[in-house]
Amino acid sequence: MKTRDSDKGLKRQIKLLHDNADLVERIFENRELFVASSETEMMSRIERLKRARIVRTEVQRGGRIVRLTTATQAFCRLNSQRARLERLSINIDEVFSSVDASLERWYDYDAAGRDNEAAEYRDLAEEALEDAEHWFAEKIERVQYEIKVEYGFDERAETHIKRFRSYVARIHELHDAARDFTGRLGGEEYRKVWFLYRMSNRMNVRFQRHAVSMTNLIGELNQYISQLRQRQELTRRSVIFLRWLQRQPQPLHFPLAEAAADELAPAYRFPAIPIAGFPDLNDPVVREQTAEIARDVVKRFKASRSLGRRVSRPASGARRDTAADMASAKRKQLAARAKRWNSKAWADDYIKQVARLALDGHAEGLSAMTYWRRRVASDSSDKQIGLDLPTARGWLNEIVNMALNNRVISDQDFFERFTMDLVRANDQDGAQGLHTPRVSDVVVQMRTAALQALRARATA
Amino acid sequence: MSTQTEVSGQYPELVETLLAGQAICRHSRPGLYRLLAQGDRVDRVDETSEQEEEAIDRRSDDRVAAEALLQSLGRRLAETDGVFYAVYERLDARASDAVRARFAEYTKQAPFIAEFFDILREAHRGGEALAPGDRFEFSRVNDAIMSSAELTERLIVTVSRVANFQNPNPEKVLRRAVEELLAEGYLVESSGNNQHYIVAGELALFDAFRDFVMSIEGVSLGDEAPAADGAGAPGATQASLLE
Repeated sequence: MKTRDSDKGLKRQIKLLHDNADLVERIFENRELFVASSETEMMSRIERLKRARIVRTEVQRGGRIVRLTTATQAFCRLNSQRARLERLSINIDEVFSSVDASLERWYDYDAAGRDNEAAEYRDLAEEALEDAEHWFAEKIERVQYEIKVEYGFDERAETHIKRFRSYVARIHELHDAARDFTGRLGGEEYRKVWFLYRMSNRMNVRFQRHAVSMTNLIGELNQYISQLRQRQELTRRSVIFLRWLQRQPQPLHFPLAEAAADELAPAYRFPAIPIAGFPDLNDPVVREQTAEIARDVVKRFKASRSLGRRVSRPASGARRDTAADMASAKRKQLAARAKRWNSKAWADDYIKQVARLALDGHAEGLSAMTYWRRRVASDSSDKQIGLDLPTARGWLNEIVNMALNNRVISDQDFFERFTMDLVRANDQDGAQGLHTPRVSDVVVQMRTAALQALRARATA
Repeated sequence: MSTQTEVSGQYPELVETLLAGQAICRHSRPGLYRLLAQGDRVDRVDETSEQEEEAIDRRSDDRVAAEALLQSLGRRLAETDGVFYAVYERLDARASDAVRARFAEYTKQAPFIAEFFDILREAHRGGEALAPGDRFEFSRVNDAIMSSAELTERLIVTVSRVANFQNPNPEKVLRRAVEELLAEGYLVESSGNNQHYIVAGELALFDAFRDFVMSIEGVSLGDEAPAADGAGAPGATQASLLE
């Protein structure tokens, strides 16, 4: 009874193996197979194979990993050896039996001194072997041709990996078959035939060359597979991170990682230093200047607002001519505005002088404070038309502000044409003064490229 | 270390880029990258002093000069996965504040960067994550996104994190996202006319942040990654074929 049960089980196993040969072969070739839970039809096939102890499964996120049982693997190994040559579609035995038959006739005719017939059978033996060699050469060329197709990352990496693995397997099969072929050809019975001996030597050299090129090719394929695996790992990490991020409460907060942030090298990057480019208002070097400018803006805003309030809300309860007050306040405001120094004109003039100096060969730039001192001391047009003159700090703020906003000058951003050095009150060197935030002067210099463009324009 | 160096014409640009806190990689700034990547890195050589001296000597003059300048400012050159950038030399109170600020910035950017590059991954035919050096064409990605309602919606939601749109047109939204990534250094233009873009090394730095957060916060990666088969195989194969 027991024997009958086991026979029945075996029959069932063989039937299942036969029905699912393609799937089993696929698993055998790839060592394992991932089946997503959504592939219901495939899942039920796998279940049947599992019950027959042909495969075993392992639960994986979103599906199952399927592997062959040890017994099935051993069965497939035996089968694959036989199937290998069938897949290559050449029967080496037939080749050699044809060679043997031709050789027999050749021996007879050669011994009988019938040279013409002997030569005919010699040619036949040689042709059979040459045909076999050509077959190998064609197969090798075909594999090489297919592999030489440029693969990018434009298809699923897994597909590439499977394809490359099959190429590697095919190359190994070809190699094994070629080794069998040359091994048999080098056997004692053929070595003593002088023309086959010479032929065998020539073929060995050619097969050795094939082996070297195939080895190199396998090396390249394996490297490519390795790269694809790395890319798959990158994808896996990115996707897992994204899903994890999506589950985190907002705003995001990583308490453990934040506490250990000083172990993350890219976090040590510092905010931009606005020396010759890319200002960052939060940088400690300019933070105070920024704050000062902001304070000044707020002060002026408050002043103008309070002026408006006084007009609209008289302090005393006395009846006032509101319209007259408003007109008077407006006049005062306009007069104050009219008297204020023209910051834009000053900055433009300063920049023009920087450019002029650069054209005259003074590449070191122009100090903003030098410019301010000269202009204030001169009998400038500002005084003649009754304008206020800026304070040193006000002027400096204007220039720093211009740089901080990367103001457009002649259709180009400030930092595209100029560089700026900050000079601090107690450190004229500049570079060491990062910890002394009080800026006492700035030096604006024209960039070489901008100067060359200016020169070219002047020449034209 | 000798300070007598002969810097090239690219030195000012190199220093400006480093001081501006920007990353230098082979894809975004190949010229500057060559200046930095030339020669062995000091912190990678063996510990024997002779070899270290030899390694220093092999650095380009531009790199030697840039490192000297950075040192005078309390900064140094760092490298992560082939991406160079300048960092604080030591972790004093000010640097510590900046490190926290930078980390907070990465945290703030994380949803946009992770989500957008995932959208690009799905829109890009490969289905694999993008890495520095990968290229994509705006119109192709746009077509792929437009052909999928799910991707279009994801794109609009994602980009809304960094920009406001009253009537979101997917193409404009995608363009806005690309502009954002160009400004942040994650992408560089391959050709302005044809709108081809290259993923820059800045993404490798974000990946370092991502891996750091995942490892410290204990984000489960499921099973261990499959072994990089083939990595060691070429040698073995060679032996088997030539025996």
